[in-house]
Parts: sequence; structure tokens; C-alpha cells
Amino acid sequence: MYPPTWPALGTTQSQALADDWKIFTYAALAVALLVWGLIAFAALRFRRTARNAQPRSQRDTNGPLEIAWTVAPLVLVIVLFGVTYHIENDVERLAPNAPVQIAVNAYRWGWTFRYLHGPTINGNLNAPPEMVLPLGQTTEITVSSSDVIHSFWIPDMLFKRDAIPGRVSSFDLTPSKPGTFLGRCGEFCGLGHATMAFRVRIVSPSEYQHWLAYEATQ
Amino acid sequence: MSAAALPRVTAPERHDILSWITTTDHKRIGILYMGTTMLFMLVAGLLAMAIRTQLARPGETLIDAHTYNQIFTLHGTAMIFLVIAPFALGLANYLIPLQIGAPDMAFPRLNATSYWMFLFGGLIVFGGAATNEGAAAAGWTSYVPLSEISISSGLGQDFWIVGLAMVSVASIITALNFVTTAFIFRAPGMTMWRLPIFTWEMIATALLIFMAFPSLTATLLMLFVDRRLGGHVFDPAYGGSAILYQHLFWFFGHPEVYVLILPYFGVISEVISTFSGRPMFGYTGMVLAAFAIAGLSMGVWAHHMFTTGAVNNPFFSFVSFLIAVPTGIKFFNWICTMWGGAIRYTTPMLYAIGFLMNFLLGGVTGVMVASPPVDFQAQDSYFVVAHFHYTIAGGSLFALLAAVYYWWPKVFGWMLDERLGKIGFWLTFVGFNVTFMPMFFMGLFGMPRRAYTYADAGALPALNLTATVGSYLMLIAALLFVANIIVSARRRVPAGNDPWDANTLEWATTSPPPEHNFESLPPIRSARPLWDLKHPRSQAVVVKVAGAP
Amino acid sequence: MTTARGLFISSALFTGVLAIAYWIVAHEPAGTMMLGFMTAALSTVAIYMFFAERDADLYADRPDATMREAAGEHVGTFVTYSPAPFWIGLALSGLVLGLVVAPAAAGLGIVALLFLGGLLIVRSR
Ligand SMILES: [Cu+2]
Repeated sequence: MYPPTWPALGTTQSQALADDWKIFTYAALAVALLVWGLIAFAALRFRRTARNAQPRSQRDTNGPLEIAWTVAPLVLVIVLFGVTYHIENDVERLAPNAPVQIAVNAYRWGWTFRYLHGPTINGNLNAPPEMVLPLGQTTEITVSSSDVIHSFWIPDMLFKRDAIPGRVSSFDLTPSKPGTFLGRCGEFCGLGHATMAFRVRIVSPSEYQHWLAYEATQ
Repeated sequence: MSAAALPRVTAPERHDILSWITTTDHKRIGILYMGTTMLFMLVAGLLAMAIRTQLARPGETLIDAHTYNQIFTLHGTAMIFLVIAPFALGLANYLIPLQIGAPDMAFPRLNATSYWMFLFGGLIVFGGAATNEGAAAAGWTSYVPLSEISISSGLGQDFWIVGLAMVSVASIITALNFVTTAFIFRAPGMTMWRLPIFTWEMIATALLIFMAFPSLTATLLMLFVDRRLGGHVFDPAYGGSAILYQHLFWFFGHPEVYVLILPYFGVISEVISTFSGRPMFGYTGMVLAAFAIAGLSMGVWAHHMFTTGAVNNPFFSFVSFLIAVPTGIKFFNWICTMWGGAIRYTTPMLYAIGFLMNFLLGGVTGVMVASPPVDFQAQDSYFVVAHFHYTIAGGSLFALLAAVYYWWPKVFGWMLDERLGKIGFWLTFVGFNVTFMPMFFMGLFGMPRRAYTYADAGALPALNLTATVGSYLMLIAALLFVANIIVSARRRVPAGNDPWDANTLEWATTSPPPEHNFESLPPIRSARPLWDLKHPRSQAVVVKVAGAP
Repeated sequence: MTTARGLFISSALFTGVLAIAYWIVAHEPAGTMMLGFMTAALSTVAIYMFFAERDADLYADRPDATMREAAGEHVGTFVTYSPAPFWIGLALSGLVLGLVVAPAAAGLGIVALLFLGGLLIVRSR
């Protein structure tokens, strides 16, 4: 059902998030490889040997070099901030009048999904609840909590949002892949935290209508 | 005031147990501090082994959820508050007066008071485990409402609060002492811009402690009022706010992580400079970078709160990114210090290079999680566990071990065994990376931190087993370290004053130093007075540049 | 002492600017308050140092000072042993534990502490 391997990226938002992951991973690795290389080179090249018995220089400053390695990283992080700013804006934008709206309430240790004009799904540790979403339709999720802080986290969608008592917080998901994804609590909440799970099942819009009709009869 | 002659030490030296309890000598307090943190580290390390053993395979039932929650809470609390930070305070206690050519700290009695408050505070935190419902189990962050009395009714949480409050006040006192000592008690000619880098980093650390720890003390007090005196500071039902706690806590908590690293930047600078046989490259840049990090770290606290949806993510993201710049300056300066030197591969130098390698990965992944879109997945997952262990364990802990091997001969007068030390280094280095590298992937794949078990699915079991194997390698290295101390103590190879051919004043006195530290001081004309003494021909050059900042 | 003073002045300026910037960007009271408090605290030290240390002339701040010219003046002695710190630490632990556990336990603890403290003072004389 949910092989915990590379995230499946089940929403359009998660594709933007994955872009951010990629850009930052490549940037981080590039910088790390460069600096690792410099460290390794200096460490090996300048080890004390019979031929390199004495330090060859006592020079301890180099103005242009020092300015360069201050300015270059500064430019890099400003560029990275630009990237991050745009992607975060895309991901957090709330569509007006989302066709599906769900109020999520977290508690120790389970979840309640209250669909606007629809069913209420309840579940606990023994029977994780399932959230059914229509493919391609934007869903607005509003999270809150009735006891301690939890976090609504779907690893396959690269996203979590904390459920905080006394606060509500909203975000959009636009499912782009059918399938069942595991969700879990992302903020430590006590004894049941490790197994405080739920499922998200993404189905075609017609199946979603069937499901709504079926739930209405329950 | 003419600080011409500093106050003198007059009383004769004693060695009975009572003399250790009543001592106000900065060197003895330093040894007490460091020894205590070593014992606390032993406990915290064994707790970590319990965690890794439990997580070796999915569905393990060795440890139940409640015990597991206590274990990781104590592990985190102890490592942060009782090991990494106070070891640096102990080391600085020992070194600052020696490095600046002073006979003692500015406030010796206050200094001793801070040690005893730290010791008893730490014991109280651990003592919580002896209460009915066990130790605190809400994580080292103890977020409300989880840590409120309605949810965590156990006394262990209260022990945690009052114990840490004592540790917190002790840290503030010590910071005050460091700054006063470094400002006022410097030897003639030891201008601020000739201070050893370690002392500079400790001044920056002390400044951070001033700014951050009062927030911790206040937060703990508020939590205590909520729990024991019926307050509702953080209770949303009465208009309190759970988010307020996070603001207050991280306002302390983020500067705290720089309290955990800046002293060790100082250690690494001293070690690399000594064993490369070169001066610290970019001294001024190094000092300014330390203060830039300290200043910027005051403006990044809510990057721990990106997923709350309650803070201005771009502001904190941007300031967090900026910290990469001064950290980068430090890295390049360390590399240039090695460049053109004749590097001697002793155990401390190996640990220093291990530090550079590990901390770099901790640093670049730090930039990653400072990007909110990355953090939305990484927050509270094993990705951040890997990230901060690369900085605190792969970084600070490696530097701590470098410090132990480097200054041991000065403190005790005899050398640690180099061969055992090097074997220990390679075991620690390999074990560390085998333990924590898989955690980046666990986190990306969706494993939450602070979970006592996980599903038998996908790559998680294999990754976890790898991590556990790595942790046992580190355990063997820890045992080797203990063996090294025992073996070397028997052999007692005398260290002499200056076994490493070092630069700074602490190596100008005997090992161990006399109670009043120095019989005589060499002239101080640069940041490397001892090197000047050993290389008289270079003196002229040094004096010329010494006037510059 | 110019450098030391500058350290606090620039830190106060930095946190002050940070507080204002944070308020403008985030409009969030908790953080702004704390940055404001921090600025006030750093300014207090900075102002103190400005007035109290303006005339300070330390041999340590003269790049060419020698040990010889600094020697001679006797300004005091360091305390090498004191029973007070240990006693203060124990007493504080008793106090905070008493707050948490039970006043009765704290009472017993205080009697034991007084005894121990007295013993220490007598022994260390
Ligand atoms: Cu939860």
C-alpha cells in the first residue's frame, strides 16, 4: 500500500515541492563536494612529509580572497531564497471556493475528517480513517486539534501542517495521481504518536460521487 | 582602573576531597565541569544505544512507548543541556584564564556556584526517572499542551523544569564570568585583537547565552506556573497560546544550537592552526564571522515553526540562509589555515578534519531545511534528526573529542595513547556516518522522529538496521576511549609544557599548571605569543602587523 | 576597552534593527517584544560600558605593554577555597525540589543542608 521509498508525489503541489527539494539537494551537494574536495586536497597535499617538513608560509590573510568567499555565498543564498519564496507561494496559495472542503480534527490518537456538505469520517489507532479525494479537484483542508499539537502529514505529498489546539490552519491539495497513500501524525503527541495514521485514497471524480452517495446512506 | 597587577593567589594548594568541593580555582572547576559532562554523556549515550536497539527492526517490543518517550526525552535533554554545552563551559573555564595570561576567573566563587548549580540541576533532571510515572516524556522541547499537567501529570516533568531552570541560571552566571574575565583580566600586551580564537568564540557564546537563556528561564517558570500553580499562560481554553510557547522556547532554542557549536569552532581553530604549523588564517574574519553568526541566530527562531502556518516563513527562511555566509567564511579560513602548512596527523587533528567533513554536511542540509518547502516534509522527520546530529554529534562531539585529546596533556601532565586514539577516531567516524547517513533517507521516506516503532515496509527496516549497526561501532569506539584513559594513566608518558608545538599561552606554563597558572609570561606581541618565542627571527615581522585590528 | 564596548553597542544596534525589520515584515508581537527586550538589555550594558569604562586604561590594551611595567601593584587576592558555592547549590536544589514534591521533604532537606553547610564552614576554616 505505501512502500516508504521515494515519495509518490500524489498532488500538483507536491510536484512544486519536489522541485524545491531537487534544487536544494543539488545546490547542497555541489557546495559540499566543492568544499569536501578543498578540505581533502589541503589535508593530503600539505601533510608533513620528509619533503614538506616545515610550513612553507606563515601568511595569514588575503583580502581579495576573503571578500570573494563572503560575496559568492551571499549571492548564492539570495538566489536560493528567490527560488524558495516562489515555490512556497505556489504551494500555499489557497484557491477561492475549493470544490471539496474538509475540516480535519486531530486528537489523541485519531482523526476526524468532516466533509463540507458531506460525511464525517472518524477513526482511531485500531481503525485508521480514510479520506477519499477526487482526482484533479482542489481540496481545501483545514486542520485543528482538540487536545495537544499534532501534525497532518502525508509523506507521499511532501507536505505536513500542524494541528494546533485553539487555531485553525488551511491549505490546498490538488490530487494528481490515483492511489492510496499513507498519512500520519508528524508532531510528537504522546503514547500513540508512532501509530497515529490515516489513509488518503484518490479516486476519479465519478467514483468520488459514488462514494459520497454511499456514505450518505450509511 | 589600572589593572597592572592582578589579584594574587595566596593560599597553599590542597588535594583532599573537601578541597575539591570547596575549590574556587578555575582549573579545578573546569575539570569538575568536564568530568561531570563525561559521566552525563555516558548515560545519554547508553540511552541512545537503547533507542537504536529498539529501532533495529520493525515492531520490536523490547521497550514500550512510555519508556521510549522518556528515553529520547532524557537523551536529548542531557546531550544538549548537560553534555555538549556545559563541556564547552568547563573547557572555557579551564582555558580562558590560561589563554589570556590571567591567574583565575574574575568571580571565582560565582564560578564554583555555577558548577554546583549545574551538577545538581542535571541530577534533578535525571532524578525524575525515580518518580512514580518516570522521567519527563514530552521531548527536549516539551511543547505545550503536551507538557501541561492535564496531559503529562507525572512529577518527572516538574523535575525536568526545575532542574533545567537551575542549569539555565548557572549558564548565565558563567557567561557573565567569561565576558568579564576576557575583558578585564588580560595580561599586559594581550589586546582584544590578540586573543586566541577559542577565547573569542567563547565571548560570542557568552553573548548568546546572555541573550537566549533568560528566555528559557522565563519559559520554564511560566510552564511551572501553569502546571503547579494553576496558571493558564499556554492554555488556549483561557486565551493562552500554544504558539506563544514555541516562540518563547525557540527564541532560546535556536541561539542555543549556536551555543552548542561556537565554542567548538574555537577548538577546531586552535587544533588546525597548531598542527598545520600556521597562524589562524583570516583571524579578523573569523572573529567577525562568530559575531555575525551570534547576531543572525537571534533572528531565525521560528524556522522551527514553518509547519505551524502561524509565522512569517519567508523572513525566517531568509535570515537562516544568511547564516550560511559567516559559516562559509569559517570553513574557507580553516582550509586556508591548512594550506601551505606541514600538517601533523595526531588524534586531535584527525578529529578536527572529521569535524570539517561531518559538519559540512550538517551545514548544507541546514540550508535545505531552512527552505520551507523542503521543511514541510523534513520537519519532525528523521531528516532533521540526521541534520542536527551531523552538526551536534558529527560536529560538536567530534570537536569535543579533539579538545579532550588536545588539552588532556595540559590538564593531567601525561599523554593519551595516540595509536588507540587513532583507531578510536576511525571507528567513530565510520560508525557515525553509518548511523546517521541512512536517516536522511528515512526522513525523506516519511519516518517520523520520536516514534518507538515503525511499519515493516519498503526501505525502512534495512535503513534502520544499518543505523543500529553504525551506533554499535560508536559504542566500541567509546569503550576504546575508556581503555585508552586507563592504559595511558598506567603508562604516564610525561607531556612537558608544550607537547604539540602550539601557539597560545596555556602551553607556556607547566602541565598541569600551578595554582596561580604562570610563573612568568612571555612577551605578548601577536595572537601567537608562544610561536613568537620559539621563532625569534620572525619577531620583527610580527610586531609590525600587530597594531592592526 | 574600545573593542569590548563596540561589541555591545553594535549588538544592541543589530538587534534593534532586527526588531524593527521583524515588526515591519511579520507584524508579530511576541518576537518583536523579545527582540525589543534584548535590545534594551544590550543597550544597558553598552551605556554602562560607555560611561564606566571610558577612562579605563588597561595594560592589556596597550600593544607594547611589558610584564615588567605592569608588575608591582598589589590590588588584592583571589579566594582559592569557599564552602559557599556548594552549599548554595545544594540549598537551591532543596528549594526547587521542595516546590515540586512536598514542603515536608523540603523541611527535612533544609535541616540536613544546614548541618552540612555548618560542617563545611567549620572544616574549611
Ligand atoms: Cu499526534
